[in-house]
Amino acid sequence: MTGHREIRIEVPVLARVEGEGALDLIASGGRIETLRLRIFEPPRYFEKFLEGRGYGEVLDIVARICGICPVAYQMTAVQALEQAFGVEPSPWVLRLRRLMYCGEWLQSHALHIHLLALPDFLGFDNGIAMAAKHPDAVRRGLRLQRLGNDLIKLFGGRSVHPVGMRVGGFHRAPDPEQAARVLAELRSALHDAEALVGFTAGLELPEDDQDFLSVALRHEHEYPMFSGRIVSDGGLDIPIEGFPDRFRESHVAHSTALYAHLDERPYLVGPLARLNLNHDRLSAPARAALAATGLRLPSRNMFHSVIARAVEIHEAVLEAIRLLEDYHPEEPAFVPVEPGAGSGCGATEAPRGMLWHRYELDDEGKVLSAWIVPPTSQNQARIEDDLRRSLEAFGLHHDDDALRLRGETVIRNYDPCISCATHFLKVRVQRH
Amino acid sequence: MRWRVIGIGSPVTRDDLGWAAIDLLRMAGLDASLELLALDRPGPALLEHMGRGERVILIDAMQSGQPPGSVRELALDDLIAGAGMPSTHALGVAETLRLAEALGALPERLHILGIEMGTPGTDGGWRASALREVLRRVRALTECRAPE
Repeated sequence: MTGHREIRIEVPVLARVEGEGALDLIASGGRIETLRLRIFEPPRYFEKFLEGRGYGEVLDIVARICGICPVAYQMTAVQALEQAFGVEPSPWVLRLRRLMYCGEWLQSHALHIHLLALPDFLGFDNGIAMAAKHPDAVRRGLRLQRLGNDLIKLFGGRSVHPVGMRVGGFHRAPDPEQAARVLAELRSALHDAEALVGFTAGLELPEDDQDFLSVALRHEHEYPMFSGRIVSDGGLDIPIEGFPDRFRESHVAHSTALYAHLDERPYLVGPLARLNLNHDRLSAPARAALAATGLRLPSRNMFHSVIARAVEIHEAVLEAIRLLEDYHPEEPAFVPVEPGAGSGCGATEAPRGMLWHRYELDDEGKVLSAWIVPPTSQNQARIEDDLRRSLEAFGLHHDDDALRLRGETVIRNYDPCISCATHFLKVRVQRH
Repeated sequence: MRWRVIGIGSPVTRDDLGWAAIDLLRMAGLDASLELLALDRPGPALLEHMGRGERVILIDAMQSGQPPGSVRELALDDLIAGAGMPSTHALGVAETLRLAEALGALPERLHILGIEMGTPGTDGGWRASALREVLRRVRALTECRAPE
């Protein structure tokens, strides 16, 4: 029950998310009056760092935006640069890029499910505390994460800030023996990946249906990863070049990350949006495993995101096996690139959602301007919307600790990467 | 069973003391009797290189307020007592060792050697002497009889 006292809660660190932020909540008469997800991590200025840099430096710079999803930044940038220079990578390169991207989905989703999200749903403060009671789940997560990292290393030399990709393709083709070892590991992990779908669907997740707009890429026949048109369940269907016409970024005083709206509405990007819009594009085994859970799609329950991540892990393992079974090295592993003045944009599906880049380059291929729209900043308005609805549905009569935990759970469910968007959450609840 | 010595850090930043130590151990010929490994900020992947029943020495740079180049063997309990899990990026050595403890996956024998980092460009010879001290300690811990 809400009283007239003013209560102030401060959580010094919002655990299990990436980046620094705070949540301000003012409630009165059982209703939320003000709710702000404040992101105060200092702006990182990557777009300005890129200006004046040669096109060959861009992939190494954008990878530094994130230690968890560097591949997504590289994939999106390389697509934009290749479009600007009129370069068509070979089908072999495109297959291998998809394979490398599978690695990033695998490691990022495995880490989030097992060490960041599961403690919320199983009732632990963190993954380390959970490990003592659920060691098998944690070990499974670590195995899948390692496998994702191994896939990235095949191409990039290392899993964090990999260095293997270049405009036009890859610096070198992966070593066939190493590729065969990763293929064998993927086959061994297939059971873990399939079982994870049922495991997540069996969790006691909060029931909280909401009305929200899903946005994702959609490809003619593939589950979207790094190509397709931008679609929504509100009827949007545009080429990636049309992003600036329909999506609008804006500043708000309480956040160093930009907000994004689609036709003035908040929207969702990420695993659940992708699955809502693209479940018919899953491979047959992934569709079967999903069907066995009984999950009805499209889902309006944001907490089903954890199931969506598990489905995408299963799909990534299946897809990586398919692509590696067909692997043969080609040299050179790239097509030649002739830089020139122009502009290009790229859009791919990072683990946390659609990532959009645009670059303008001069006749030497130096960056004149860069525009990067990361998934977490796109989700920011949706997270605030979700928090407002979730906390009111949960009930403001709960004590501050319970409200804070539910708020944090809602935020973590988006696997936000605040560092990418521009770190810790202070929650202040004021009740009047 | 051979000892495994793991240097942790980054080969391309100033957090390279773990890597430099492995280079020196290799140059000293210890790779004939020890398994030497340098890992680039492995996070939880460190667990893959430390199985139960194994014997492991970890070498990493540290910032503890001691003079640059100080070498100290860190007690596991002290190290993991301060470990938290604030974020994915912060799953460092201490958090990973705490996770290994929770999983019952700590090596049978584990020594952790920390080398105090210094400010770039102020190396007054502390780096070389610190690495020699690490070499001496690894030899003593493993009773390695590789040539001097």
